[in-house]
Amino acid sequence: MEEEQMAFEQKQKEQVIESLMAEHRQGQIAEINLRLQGKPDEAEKVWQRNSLLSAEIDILIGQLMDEWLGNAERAIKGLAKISAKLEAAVAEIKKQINVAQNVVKIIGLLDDAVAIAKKVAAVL
Amino acid sequence: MQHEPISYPVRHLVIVLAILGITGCASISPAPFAALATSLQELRDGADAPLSLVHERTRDRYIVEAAAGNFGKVDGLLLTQPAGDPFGWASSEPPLFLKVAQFRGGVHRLNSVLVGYAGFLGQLASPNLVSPEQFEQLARDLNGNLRTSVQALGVSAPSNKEIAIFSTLGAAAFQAYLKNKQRSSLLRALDRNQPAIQEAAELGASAVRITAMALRNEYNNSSAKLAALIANPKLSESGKQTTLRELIELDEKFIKEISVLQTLHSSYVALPAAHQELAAGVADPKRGLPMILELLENARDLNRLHDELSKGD
Repeated sequence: MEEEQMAFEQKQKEQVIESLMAEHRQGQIAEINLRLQGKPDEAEKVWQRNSLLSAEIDILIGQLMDEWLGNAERAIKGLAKISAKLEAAVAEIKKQINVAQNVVKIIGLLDDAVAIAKKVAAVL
Repeated sequence: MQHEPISYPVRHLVIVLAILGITGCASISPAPFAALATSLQELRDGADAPLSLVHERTRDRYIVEAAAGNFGKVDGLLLTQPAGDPFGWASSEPPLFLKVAQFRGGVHRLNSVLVGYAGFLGQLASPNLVSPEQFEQLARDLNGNLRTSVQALGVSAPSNKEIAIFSTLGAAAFQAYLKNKQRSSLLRALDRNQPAIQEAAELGASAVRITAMALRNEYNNSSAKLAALIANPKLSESGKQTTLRELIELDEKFIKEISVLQTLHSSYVALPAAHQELAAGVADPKRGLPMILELLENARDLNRLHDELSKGD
């Protein structure tokens, strides 16, 4: 529930920044039109106002990135844990195969020992 | 003889054919897992490239704005040491490009753990983990050892055939047990990790949207600057043409870059369903794997778009 709320808040913030960026873009288009119409003073005023909005947009994008990093940290740790569990499952199967190979080898060694013991017993 | 490295399209085709060819095969097919791993690697590289561009552009814009007399921006560059933190740094107004650099690192780490996860899934799904060759060797060794035992103990030896059947059965039963364990571990992992993959995919999609926003912001600023230059009545006709050409090139580049981000976004959106599909595919190998194929198609598109953008540079 908390995660859903967090995700919703994040999306809402994205929407707010998107609409601010749309406003900023309209401001830029208005400024260019004023310049094309030969009204540089009015264009300059629009540019100055728009620069303030641009600085705010930069700050908000930065905040959004900071918040994302905060949320991602927990997810990265969680994913690292589940990867470690998977690695352990792979290692466990490999270990069981190794154990079986070793058991077969040991049986072979014991066989050799028994064969030697038999030969020794026959000589004595 | 030196082998030529397999090209990306060939590798892609091999994986697609392998996925399509799994129908009717009862054991775990490694192909969808290989497809997931390939797609996630492409996703990681695909996400890093636009963030590298955003970093470069926000940094360049910062320099231009600071040089134009925005002294607050110069202040922001004078890093200070936070009290009690010998390795820390702080800025009165952290520049956006520094935040982008940290964000880029975070996105790369998230994608890297996803790549690592896919790699371990691939190992757990691999037919080589419990390979027939290993068990044939086990049966052969066991066979040889049993023969020595019976001879050494002076027991009348059973026929070769009887010993071979006995040792093969022993090794085969053990192989079946481990295969079953491999399968159940894989299914359990896919099932239990679904919520974590869902969360990671949502974070990935959100990172791409933030990147798109930052990229658009840089495009807006650069294109407005060029347009203002074109509107300058003092600029010559040829100067206007050159600047217009620059604006057109900027537009074309932006369209390609934003389309890379769109593909990345749809890959993250498809990821949870693709992960779920892996479990369903292990349980029922006759099932189709449309989401895995979509993810792989996206990876191919990303690779192509990436190449196109690199050529443009």
